Amino acid sequence: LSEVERVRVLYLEYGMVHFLLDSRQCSASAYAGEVVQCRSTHKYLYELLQGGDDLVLLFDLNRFLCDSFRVQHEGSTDLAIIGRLDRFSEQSSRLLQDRVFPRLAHLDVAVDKVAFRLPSSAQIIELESDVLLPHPFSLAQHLERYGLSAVHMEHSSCGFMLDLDLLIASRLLFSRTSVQETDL
Amino acid sequence: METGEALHKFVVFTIGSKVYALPAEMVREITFQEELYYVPFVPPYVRGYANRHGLPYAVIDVQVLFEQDALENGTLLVLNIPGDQVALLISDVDEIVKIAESEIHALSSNDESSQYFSHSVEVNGQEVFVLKLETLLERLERDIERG
Repeated sequence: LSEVERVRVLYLEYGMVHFLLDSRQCSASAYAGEVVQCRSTHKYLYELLQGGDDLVLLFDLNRFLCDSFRVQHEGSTDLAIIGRLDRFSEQSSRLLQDRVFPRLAHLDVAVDKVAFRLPSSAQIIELESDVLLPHPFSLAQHLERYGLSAVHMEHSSCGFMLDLDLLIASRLLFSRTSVQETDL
Repeated sequence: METGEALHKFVVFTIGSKVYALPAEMVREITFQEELYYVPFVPPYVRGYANRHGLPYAVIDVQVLFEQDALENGTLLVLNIPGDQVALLISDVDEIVKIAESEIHALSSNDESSQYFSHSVEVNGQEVFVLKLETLLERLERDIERG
């Protein structure tokens, strides 16, 4: 019998829907209460995390999930996870290096990492990799391209494994509001 | 009826006020749907995922496709498509019938909507269109490619 690989994931619960993040994409976590607001036309990119000496670009992943999956989260979202760009693909690193960081050069923003705002209730759990299921064939390729890399079915909840790298590369996290042009 | 004619089994069902049929071998399971989980970035007629035996099934609402009007809730026809997990959201199953070959008719119309039907069958004196799943899945593939 072959051994099933165990994977460590961050588990985010939103009522009947949950999300999983591969812990290998998260190098650290931080309190997301101390932030600097930017003037921004982006829906999910409008603040910088104050992390020690650094300011780190902070994507509002919670808001993205609420908007995209039609879910709601009650409670605090003061957790940030930090992803190092050297663990991301060249495509998403380049997108940030070429399009985003130069616009924030005057703010001395770290260019080797980004952060994602999450519900404070996120937990780290271990799963056997065979409970991460492919999407139905008709949708699989399309959804995987958008960073929805697998499905996780529980008795009364449906989960989506998210690939943070592809969420950036697919530009989903760069959606804009209709507000006037500003810093970002 | 001892005519020696081949009989074909069909599942006859309603979607809203319309009656449709599918060859019985295309239907794996008929089940009452309790929960649909919304899936983003897909066409609006993909209403979400249903959990069938621990697997995600993409649920297609044909009424959205044909009439831009979502079916409130109902029954799932879990389809028998090798290598894929797809179900149709329907209102109800009317009956499962055996139909003689001579009562299965080719479609005469060539209009756009007829592409979604393979044949028509006569059920209790009424003409019922047989859904063509290949066209539905091709449409889904096309809409996804267009983004």
